Amino acid sequence: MSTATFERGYAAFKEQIDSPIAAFFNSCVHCGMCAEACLFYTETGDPKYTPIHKLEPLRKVWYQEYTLLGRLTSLLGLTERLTDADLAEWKHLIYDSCTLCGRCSVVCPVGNDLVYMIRKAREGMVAAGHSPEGQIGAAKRAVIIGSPMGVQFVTLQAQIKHAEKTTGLTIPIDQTGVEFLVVLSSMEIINYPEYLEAIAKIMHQADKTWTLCSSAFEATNTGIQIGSSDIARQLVNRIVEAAENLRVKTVISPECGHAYTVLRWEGPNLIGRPYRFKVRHIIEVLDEFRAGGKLKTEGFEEARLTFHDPCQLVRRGGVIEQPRKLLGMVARNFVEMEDAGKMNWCCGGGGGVSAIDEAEELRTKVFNRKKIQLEKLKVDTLVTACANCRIILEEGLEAYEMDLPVVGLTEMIAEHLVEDK
Amino acid sequence: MHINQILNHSNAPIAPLLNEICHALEKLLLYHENTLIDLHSLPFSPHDITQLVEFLGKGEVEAYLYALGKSIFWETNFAGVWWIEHYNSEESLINRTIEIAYCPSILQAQTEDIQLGKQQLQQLIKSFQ
Amino acid sequence: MSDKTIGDSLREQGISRRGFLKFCATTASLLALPPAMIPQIAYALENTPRQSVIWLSFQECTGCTESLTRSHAPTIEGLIFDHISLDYHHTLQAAAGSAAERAREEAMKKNHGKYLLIVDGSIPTGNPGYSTIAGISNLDMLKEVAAGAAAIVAIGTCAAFGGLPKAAPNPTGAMSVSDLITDKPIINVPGCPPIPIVMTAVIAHFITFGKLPQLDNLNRPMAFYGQNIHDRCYRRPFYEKGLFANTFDDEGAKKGWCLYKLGCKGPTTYNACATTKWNDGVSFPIESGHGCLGCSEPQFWDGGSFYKPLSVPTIKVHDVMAYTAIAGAAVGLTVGGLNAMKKTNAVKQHETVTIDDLERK
Repeated sequence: MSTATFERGYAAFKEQIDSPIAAFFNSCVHCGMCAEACLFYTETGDPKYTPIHKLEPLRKVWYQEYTLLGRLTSLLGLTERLTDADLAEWKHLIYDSCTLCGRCSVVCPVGNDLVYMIRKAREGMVAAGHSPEGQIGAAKRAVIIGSPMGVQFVTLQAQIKHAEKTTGLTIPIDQTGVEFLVVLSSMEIINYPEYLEAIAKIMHQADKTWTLCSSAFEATNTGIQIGSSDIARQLVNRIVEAAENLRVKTVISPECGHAYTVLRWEGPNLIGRPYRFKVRHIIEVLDEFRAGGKLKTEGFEEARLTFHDPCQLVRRGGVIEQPRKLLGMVARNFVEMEDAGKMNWCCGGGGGVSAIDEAEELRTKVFNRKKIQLEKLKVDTLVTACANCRIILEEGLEAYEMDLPVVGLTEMIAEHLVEDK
Repeated sequence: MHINQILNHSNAPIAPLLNEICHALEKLLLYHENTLIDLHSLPFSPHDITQLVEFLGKGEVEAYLYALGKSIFWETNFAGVWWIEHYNSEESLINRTIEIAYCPSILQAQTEDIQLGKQQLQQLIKSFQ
Repeated sequence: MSDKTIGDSLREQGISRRGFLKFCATTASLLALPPAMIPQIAYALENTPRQSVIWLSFQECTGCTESLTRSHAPTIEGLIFDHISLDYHHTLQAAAGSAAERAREEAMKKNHGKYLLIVDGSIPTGNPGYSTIAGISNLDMLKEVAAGAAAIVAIGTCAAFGGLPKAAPNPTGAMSVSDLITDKPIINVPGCPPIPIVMTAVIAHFITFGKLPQLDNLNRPMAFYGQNIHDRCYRRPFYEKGLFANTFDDEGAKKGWCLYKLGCKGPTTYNACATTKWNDGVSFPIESGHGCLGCSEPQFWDGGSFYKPLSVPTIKVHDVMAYTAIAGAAVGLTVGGLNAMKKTNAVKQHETVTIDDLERK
């Protein structure tokens, strides 16, 4: 049986360095703007959290292997070579303190996509056996059981039964030829079952055909978070196969940021071919329904509320206007958070950080940014469109003893549906 | 010099400035609204300024104002676009602007000065009588 | 304070309304206000009486005063300066000894709560004897005069942030004005020295609008310290293109490329040098071929070498990059070929990662 080794990790780093990475390292002018964009730096003031510094192991490999002087100096023994101890030290920087939120990529004056680089660096860390235990466990459960939280289809079946009872609607499973395949995140199955009810109600009102799939109900992808394309490919393939077997037109990504990124943007690259279906985030679908007059709501939320933009949605996906248009249908007292939209601050738990136990203390510390943002607004309710953000927000609010309910946007819309059918 | 040559040889934001002037001319034609652009606040090197002056050229009108030092005004080759340089009494340049107007606002006689002039003239006439 | 306004005194000197408007237009430019503000400036200047100013100099080199008086030719700034009542400035005033101190006390009494206090130099807190004026320690004098001031302008990096006297090991226990006075509005006008026009503009703003201009988080006026040198630098396009001078006499330096790698602190320094420039707008350090030292930022003296590039990583990547660039030009093709081979090999050797491979066994 094969195992993770330093040599294997080194080879993986070498393999990961492509022309964009080489160009990025070459063009970095060390301006430090990525530090100011990083939650982990701004909230701790510790320069080790400067995003480009988190990539030092990858940079060392690039320098040693792919630059002339680097090679000469390595030959002469003048360069400090990358060591296993370096990797052990950088585990904290590459995993615990990066949520792949992408603010650094947006601000870099020379256009370096730092998130892309972190993703690549994680590939090397995985191969070297330096990925966090929490994420290893989640990846194993995802591959063996089918969900990172260990949720099995029978659990989902129980929730389906419950949702059918509450809504009086049938929830279709494994139906072929329907328009939408709805995939979920385990967090929605376990923590927020209201999401499934909301989908059922909305689809019913919009008169759309849809289905869940017993072999591919989980949309989250631990392979991407831990940084293993091989595992990520395996997981995304489940959904691709299901969608193509069921011949659906569109797969709807749940309220989960990275699930959306993987399904919509990384998936075709992982499997090496284009999909034979479309991928949309649930919020995009709802907004299309709205624009097509398929979404009718009544009544307004009285509470003063704001919206937390999930990083993957706004920075990777450009889904900024849609949630606001939807909120406009049901909220009169909506206020924008500082830096809302493209530059919104991360909740602190994305990119797999929420699965790392050792990162919890730091995660709570950096939540301070969100705390300050929310305190300024004095809102009664916080709305978001990512189950992971939602859990992290709830945890953070609790840690800072703030009493503020967090609601998913899809559920909020569903609560205001006109039930004329 | 051809505009492309200037743009290619300059690091200064000349193209956006020309666009701003163009929009100001539209505003002038539509709403009779003047626009003043303060060149002082833009990162232009002396060389950029020379090139800009060369490109805009000198038109039919040139005027001088002597108040707190000299000021020079000229209409560029583009009617309604005025180049304005204010000097202090030691003849060093203190401000450089482009005004988009039928006539630079400061060149027009000012009501307060006209009132004062009228009073002085009336007194003069009185002294003849 | 006399009731005469700036508008009054210009008219008394036979200056026409046109002249007054020219004055307002250049003041707007000076204050970095949009031209649309000119009528408001005209109105304010027409109606504002002369402002009493007390200037205290502590641990300083007189460079700030020198800088200011360099702008004191009969220019627009000069005009503004003529229209304040500088009641005490121990370097510039004619009076000396007890007469000078009496002038200060009288001004303080007469304009209590209304005068503007300008401070240059840091304040020693180690031993009051380090710096005294008329037998009064700097700290006591600052506290006494600050008590009746409407606002305080800390001129120069020493007064604003402690400056050179505060640099490690700070033998005099030097402190900035804002370290010591917390109950008054303070405007910091840092720089070693500050740009003369910036000093007068801040005073002009106060006397025209009777309040502080918009300030940044270090209490510096946004109009001048709102943007960093780098963003307004005429060499910025070279930075964008990745064209840097690597030594002070290489081709890049001769072609006027970005001085970032030679330690220019432009990207982290907020000041107006790049647009306002020095010596009546002749030039500024970067235009003269030397990087910015960052003199208007706190602790600029203790920030390491002036010639060290900002945020240097763990190994000297700059030197490395410079050499690779030179060598790379010659052997770029070969290296490209070798790299491609190395990369292909690495890809070939890829062993698929499964969940069993995630841990070391």
